[in-house]
Amino acid sequence: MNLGREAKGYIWVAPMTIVLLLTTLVPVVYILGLGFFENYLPTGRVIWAGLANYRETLSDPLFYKVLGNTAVYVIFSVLLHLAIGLFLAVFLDKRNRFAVLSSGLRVVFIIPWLLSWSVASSIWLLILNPSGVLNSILIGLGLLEDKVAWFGSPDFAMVWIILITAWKAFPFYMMLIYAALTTIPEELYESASIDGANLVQKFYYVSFQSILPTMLTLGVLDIIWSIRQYDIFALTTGGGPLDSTRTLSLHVYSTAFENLRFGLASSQGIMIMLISSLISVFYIRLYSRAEG
Amino acid sequence: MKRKLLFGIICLLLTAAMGFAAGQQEGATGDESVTLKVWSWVYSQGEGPVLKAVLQDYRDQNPNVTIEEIDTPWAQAHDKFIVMNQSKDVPQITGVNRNWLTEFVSIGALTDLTPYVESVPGMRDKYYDAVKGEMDGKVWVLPYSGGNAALVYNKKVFAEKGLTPPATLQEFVEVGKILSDPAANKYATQLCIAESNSTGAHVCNYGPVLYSFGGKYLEGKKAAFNSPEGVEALEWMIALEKDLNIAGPGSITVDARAMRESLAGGSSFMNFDGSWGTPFYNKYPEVEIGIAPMPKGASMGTVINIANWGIPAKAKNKDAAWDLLKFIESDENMLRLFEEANVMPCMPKYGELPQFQEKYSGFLITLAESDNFMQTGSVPHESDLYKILVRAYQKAYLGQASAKDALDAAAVEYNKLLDRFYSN
Repeated sequence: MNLGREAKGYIWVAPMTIVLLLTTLVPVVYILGLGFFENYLPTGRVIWAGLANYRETLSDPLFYKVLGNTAVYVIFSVLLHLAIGLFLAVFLDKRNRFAVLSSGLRVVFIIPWLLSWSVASSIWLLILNPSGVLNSILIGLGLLEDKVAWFGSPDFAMVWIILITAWKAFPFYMMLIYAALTTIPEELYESASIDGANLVQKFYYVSFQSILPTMLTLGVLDIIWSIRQYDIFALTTGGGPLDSTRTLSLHVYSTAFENLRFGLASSQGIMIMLISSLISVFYIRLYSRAEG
Repeated sequence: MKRKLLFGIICLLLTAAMGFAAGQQEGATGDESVTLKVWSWVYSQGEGPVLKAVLQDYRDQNPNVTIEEIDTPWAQAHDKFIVMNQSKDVPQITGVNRNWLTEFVSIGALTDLTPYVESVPGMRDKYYDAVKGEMDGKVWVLPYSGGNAALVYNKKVFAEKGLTPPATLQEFVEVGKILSDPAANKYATQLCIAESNSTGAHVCNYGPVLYSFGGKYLEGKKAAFNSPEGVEALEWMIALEKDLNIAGPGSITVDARAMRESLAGGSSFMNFDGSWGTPFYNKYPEVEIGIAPMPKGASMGTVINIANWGIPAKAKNKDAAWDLLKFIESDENMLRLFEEANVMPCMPKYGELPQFQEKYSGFLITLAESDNFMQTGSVPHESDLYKILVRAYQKAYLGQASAKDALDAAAVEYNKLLDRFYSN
């Protein structure tokens, strides 16, 4: 057998290609197909439904509320993650006067990211429940008269979840932006100094422009991760009160595993995938423009 | 290069062969080594230490059996089981909460245990009728821990104030007013209606109160919780917190665990709770917990809810699984559970013993005298029902709808699910 170099290459990558196809493409195709069927678990039957699942989803007012909640969560979470990550990365940068604290603080800052969502949620439930730490402190300081149910208001529950997510996730963004900052050649700052650039100008024209591709990549990833976020909502509010923290992931999960309607859940899942893909394409184009 | 290619192909074949062999091992029977996966949420609860000790005893007696203890958080247990059941990777023995029973049987997720149970003389009849895991004349699950809801209270505080536990819902309010001191952040009771634990909300609070008011979740094949009794029950619960100030704030964010912590921590003094909550108080021996019957309204209402064991329909090695299940449910090991884990007996043989009669009198009296009760697992889409009603509670609680309107809307939503369930 005398195989060409190219053919041998294909043979070597074939097993991993097959594994990747089986683990990614097959589930997507399966879900895409299931979205066209009524699959109500108690009956055990799978009946062709055409576009009925998509029509039901799009005519459900709750779906739009859930979409809005998800948008609010994604926008503010991503902005906060990147802003806090950038601020702290610059703060810890070796060129900064606080650099001496850098290694110690990095260890401290990374702790929330090391926790699992269940642990992080438990900690914040203990802090925020009506008999929790926050109320005790505020009442002790005389800043509150009565206990407040911080997760009990439809107006503020999402705010708390965004803040908790920011607390949990910022170290990841901080570390990656910090790593990007360390790769900027010192000469660029020296040139900027010679050109008379002040601190703000150096940050914007040297630091920020150099790390922009990293920030954009992190942005894409964070948008996709935030759209998929499930744990924090399930573990703290369960989507309440009054569906104010019900997001797409929770909605799909509830349709599948509580209502037991896997066909409908699949159609909702496909819509999430389309939304994520559209945002990703938009972001990648933005990224290409920033790079080019 | 050819040798490298051949080596790669051999490696792939060997890996596939090893995977196949590993797959075979789990299905082994007889004297061969057997692996049994026991999946439940009770490992991390009060029953956990006893269960682990019992499983260890079984391992010691059966060296060929490997038992994998798989712990799962209670809040996700139901949904995780549905996911497992969709795959073929199910445990040999699974925890099944009573309120999942109709659903799990309807989707064919459980093995009919009747032939197994009937092969052991007296086993089918050794449990209280109200806790038996039977449907349509078949045994699907065996009860383990749980019981029914009643009134759990702080004996010491009641004694200090010269109070006796309230016998009626009216007295509950009167005693509540004496016990509450909102200025000191002390409240007579704490309700738990968090959406993140909607089952806890219903089996501990909403259900017992609804049934005590004479209401019901379901009548025939239609929602009945929006009856006048249901509306009255919901209004009463909200008033405890909003108007009478005798229930701690934020009930819509408090789950059953936090409710128990409030009683153990001295923030509340009498809570509606189930006997499944009593193992929690083992951790707080300094708190003297008393159990009183459920205060009466139009009825003496309660909810009966039990954690059970079942064998998934897709499980391999069912005979070996039954042997272990029989061991867990043996009289000796059940008595050990009742004694050591502070669990109310689900078997009359032990429930009638004086030490348990005294300890669980409130639960047992409620069980005996209740004229309007709900046995979880008896209505379709029960998890959905609980979520729908928690949202109705939230609407009324937050003043976005009257109790009547919120419950009527919830009834429409739940009836749609019932229609789909019964029409298929």
